[in-house]
Amino acid sequence: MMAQQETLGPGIDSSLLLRVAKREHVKLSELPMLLVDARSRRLVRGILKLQSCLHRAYDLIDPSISNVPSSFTKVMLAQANRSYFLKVRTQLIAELARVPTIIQEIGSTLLESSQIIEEVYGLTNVLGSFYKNVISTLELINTELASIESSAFTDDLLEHSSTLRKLWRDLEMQLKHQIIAPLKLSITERARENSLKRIGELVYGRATETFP
Amino acid sequence: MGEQPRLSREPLTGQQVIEDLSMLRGEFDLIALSFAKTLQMTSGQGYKTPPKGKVLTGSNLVLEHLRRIDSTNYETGQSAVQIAKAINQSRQHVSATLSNLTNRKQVSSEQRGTRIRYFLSPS
Repeated sequence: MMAQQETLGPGIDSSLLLRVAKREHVKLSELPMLLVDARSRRLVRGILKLQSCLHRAYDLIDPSISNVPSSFTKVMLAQANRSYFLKVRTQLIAELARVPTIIQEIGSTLLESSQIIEEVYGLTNVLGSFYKNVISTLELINTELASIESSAFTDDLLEHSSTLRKLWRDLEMQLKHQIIAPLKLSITERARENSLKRIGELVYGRATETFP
Repeated sequence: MGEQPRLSREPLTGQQVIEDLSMLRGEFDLIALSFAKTLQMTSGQGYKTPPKGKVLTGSNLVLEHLRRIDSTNYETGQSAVQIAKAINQSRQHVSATLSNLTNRKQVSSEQRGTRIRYFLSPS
């Protein structure tokens, strides 16, 4: 089956079905074609948006640095941080402002699920408190950013820069572990069930055609 | 697609919760259910008990299940493992609950060979 590489419907090949069925690594962007519900596909798009937004914000807040001169002093480091954050400020604020919007999108899609889930697990309340946490962390990040702009002292600049990066890592971890990872796992499992059904239909469908 | 939303705002009983959750079949509802469970666990919030309804204790779950399958004798009874699977609880928890219920004479048990089955007491 692996060697056939045939197309099994619009854009689905057998290798994808098998990879999902075997729980091998699959990109999230490959899963929508294995999902039958439009809301599930919308959820995947939301997660992909959140992931790309986090990647861009991560690159802005914590860029990879190479060839740091050994003569780099504390004062130089503080000034480099300050000028860097002043440079990327607008871009960073724009990226961070997208996070709550995307969470709203994901949340509103999730709240279209059966009412019993809301009744039993209080999804609105849990998502609401999560959203509030995200907003308050973003507010703190903005405060730190403003403090970096207004600080003139080396120690203050270094402290605010490190606090900003710490807040960002906390937020990123929260979003990855509480939203992205569980949703991805759950979607992958449903996609796996669908792909197993598809494989079953293909195998047994053909068997009956060949051996009536 | 998914389940139709519950329109009435009447409080749910433990029985309704179990039945409604086990009725979820749609792909998206199962994704949302799995996510809601994980999010509740990771955010440190406990299980939301149904308001004003029957309290979801282990004993209630077992008794409700036995009543639902109309279990009154050995033939209609079920083993601890079957009950545990039906109410989605651990075997150890269900065994301990059944032991309590047997002591309270709410549930009877009968052993034939190595099989022990539990059913509702005639009283």
